[in-house]
Amino acid sequence: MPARLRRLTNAEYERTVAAVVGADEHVADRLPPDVRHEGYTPNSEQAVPSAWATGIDAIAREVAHRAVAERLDTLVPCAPSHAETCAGELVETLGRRAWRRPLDPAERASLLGAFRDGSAGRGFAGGAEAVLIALLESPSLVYLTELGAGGAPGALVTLTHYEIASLLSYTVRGGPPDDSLLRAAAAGTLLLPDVREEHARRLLALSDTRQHFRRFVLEWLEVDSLARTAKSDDLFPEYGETREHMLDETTAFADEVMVFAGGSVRALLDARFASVDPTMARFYGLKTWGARASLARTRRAGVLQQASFLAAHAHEDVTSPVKRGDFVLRKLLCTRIPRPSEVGIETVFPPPSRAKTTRERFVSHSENPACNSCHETLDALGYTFESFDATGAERTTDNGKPIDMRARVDLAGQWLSFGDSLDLAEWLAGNPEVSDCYLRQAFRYFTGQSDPRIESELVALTRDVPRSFSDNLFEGLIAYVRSDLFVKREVRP
Amino acid sequence: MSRFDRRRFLTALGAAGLTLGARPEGHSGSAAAGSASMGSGSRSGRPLRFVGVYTPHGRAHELWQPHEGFDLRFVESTLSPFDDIATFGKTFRDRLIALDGIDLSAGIAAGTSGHDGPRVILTGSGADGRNASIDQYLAVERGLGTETPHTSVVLGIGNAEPEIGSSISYGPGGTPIPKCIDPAKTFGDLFAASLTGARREEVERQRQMGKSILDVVTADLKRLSSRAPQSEKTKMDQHQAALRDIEKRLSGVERACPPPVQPDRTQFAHVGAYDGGARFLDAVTDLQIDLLARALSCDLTRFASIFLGDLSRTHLFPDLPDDVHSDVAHRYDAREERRPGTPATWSKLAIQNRYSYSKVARLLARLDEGGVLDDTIVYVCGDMGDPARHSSRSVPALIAGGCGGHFKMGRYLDLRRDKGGDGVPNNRVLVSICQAFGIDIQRYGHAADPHIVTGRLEALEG
Repeated sequence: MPARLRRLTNAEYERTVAAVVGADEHVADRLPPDVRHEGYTPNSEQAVPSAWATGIDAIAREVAHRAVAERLDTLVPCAPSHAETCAGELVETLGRRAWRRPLDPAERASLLGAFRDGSAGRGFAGGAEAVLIALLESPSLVYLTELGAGGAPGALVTLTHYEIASLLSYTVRGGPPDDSLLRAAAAGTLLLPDVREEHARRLLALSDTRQHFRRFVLEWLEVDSLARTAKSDDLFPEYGETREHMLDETTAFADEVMVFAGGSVRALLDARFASVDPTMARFYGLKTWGARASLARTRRAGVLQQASFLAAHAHEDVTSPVKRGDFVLRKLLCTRIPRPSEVGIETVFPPPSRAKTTRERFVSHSENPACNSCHETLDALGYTFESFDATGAERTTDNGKPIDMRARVDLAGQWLSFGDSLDLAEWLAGNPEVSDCYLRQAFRYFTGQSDPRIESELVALTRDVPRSFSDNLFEGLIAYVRSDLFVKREVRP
Repeated sequence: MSRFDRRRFLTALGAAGLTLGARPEGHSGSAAAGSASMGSGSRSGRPLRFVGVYTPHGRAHELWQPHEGFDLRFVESTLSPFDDIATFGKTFRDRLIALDGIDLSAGIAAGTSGHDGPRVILTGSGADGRNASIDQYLAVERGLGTETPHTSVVLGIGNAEPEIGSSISYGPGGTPIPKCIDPAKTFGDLFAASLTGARREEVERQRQMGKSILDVVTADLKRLSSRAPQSEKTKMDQHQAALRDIEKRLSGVERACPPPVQPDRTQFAHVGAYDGGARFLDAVTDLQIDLLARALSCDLTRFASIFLGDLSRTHLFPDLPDDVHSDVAHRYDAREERRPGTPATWSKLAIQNRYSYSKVARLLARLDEGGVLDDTIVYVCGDMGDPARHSSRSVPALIAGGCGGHFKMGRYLDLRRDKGGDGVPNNRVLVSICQAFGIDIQRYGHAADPHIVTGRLEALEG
């Protein structure tokens, strides 16, 4: 992997700020949204344009002011009456927490300078506030460094102990390293795979680590866009109020799969339970609600028949076999379908019709040989979901006509027949190519890069995981944390 | 009169070890071979400004193309807002060039077209390009934005996501620049210094404290940059430019200029298009445009872009369907060589087009009131020509404003080749705009075919 600087995502920044000031701070939504790469927010493209720098400047001031006004005594390790020595201790403690490493003398002097200016006329609290602001908007907090000692282009470098501590924590849980990890860095033990594994397992067991996996599931499924997906008010008057419940369901389901099934893709795709509140239980016509409400008598299972997924991959008024089929190919089978313009085709959307089913409208694709080469597969996969409308509610007719969900698809070199999307989900859940693709997707998120060559190396690492754990995503992550790939970086020109 | 201490700022830049390609005002860049001489400002000697505007949903060409004699006022004309004295107080017919036959060629070649077309409008590159959009190129990379408190301003309506389908401004490296979609925030960012009373005192206090904090942050970035490999240099440079922006504002840059009225929050409960904010977006658009025009008039910035929204769910035109994308743009049925098309679909799309252009006309009117219209190049462009085909050929493109005298205004330029053939790559427009700013370049953007990225659009000069 290349030596690099990765800017924290807004969510990672939020957790880091909270760790520095020792209190929950909800700041991520106030920043310009993250740039996505392959759909994922942790990536090397994330930069600090003016609007983001201005955003964290405002946040840093506000958070620091609040922290000092409300909790100065918990921030400072000493008595402010001994201003001189206490300032030094303040800089040392907060600096180490923010920058995830000890400070060098120049850095210490620079922060003490800010303390002096801040304390002029405003005493110790003013100085502490200035130090805190500077730290909360400092590049050493904002970037995760993977640089090691540096070197000429082509050199292979080893990350520093403190870089390993940070990387481990941000990889596994999307937040900064705790004291235990920083102590390990100080002791110089993090070059040992066993020690890294021990810390990774410890962090995975922390309850708030779930947030990181949840976010992966939401970004993988592309359902976090639901908050920006409108539906026709006339056709779906209740969608606006249900939307939040749909997202809550997927989040709660991701938690269940993380805790009880090791983040397994098989469980994500064919678990026969839903994690629903009363609103979603009603939406699905279930008699019970809770973390594990049975789906036994339904044609739903796992994430692909969840309303959030079905609504996010549909139009405002009608379903989109193309969007749903495209998701299956891109995110479950890692097959890249060219955009129509790449192969010189101008897209013509099938005209709306009150007399035809969506499937009948899309027949135009298969009549045109240029479109058909891709859409034959895309659309067929999408048709299997036609029993769910544009908000994911079950239906038996479309424009008054019965729905046909059956599909015959040429996948992975074989012709397969599916009765509906549940058939498809069950086939996907047992398919080794889907497992590999899922690992690739997960590594894009957890390592923040999407170089196909590196992805292949990462997936290969998981081959050594004992068979009994082969479907456990976190065992795959631990294999990565233990590997040389985790601690070595190549300096690119 | 500006109280900005330019020398002190440039000294600070030197100390931070920054590299800038600044062409200070009054120092003309060398002319491109065979062209007239160029300067970084207006021909009047005043500084030149640039605004990029995105308009959604393609266009109904039948009602977009001006009639004989550059007539913009025929029945259902989409360009009529530019010649509407009753609404805007004056006509902008003589401040407009309608460009027919501009293709987003680099995007088409790279598969970045249709809904991804916004990526190409100001960059001249598909998704594989790493170059900035011209607003950022001129303001940041060439340093033309250093003299104003805000190097550039990037606004949007209804959708803040930095996705290629909803962003026309890109930083070095080719990543989208965040858009501000909240007028209250736009006001705060641009005009906080014009506040009075207690807020003003708070701003002053923050400013005092800001300097030493910025010293820590800048030193930290410098140390990090020195360790960063060459491959990360673009990122570090962009961060440095962002800190310079903060520094400029801390340095007490003020402009003698009447502050605008602070936006009234009751006018817009939401600013997102999908959280019930659609019905406020018309008011939001007007506020954003007014604030932007004031910022340009007050010389708070000279480079800006705005990504306009659509009429979906705004209920402004009761006859228009709720979903303009699916029910208007997708249903557009163009007149073509062998088929007459469906005029009723042109009329509906024309309502959307005319709405977008009424907002551009509002921008022109406000710039005129602020006395800077003649020194501004407004480049207005859509991502698609025929929206039902998702075609990024023959996209609706306009150049508006006085353009500092660099372009001959008040014309329709038919650049379409033979019917069905390729038009002119938008890169030519981008090169011409850069040249108007005194930047002596002959190519802009990224494409495998050098023909796409090379050359200016001579026809603009008349």
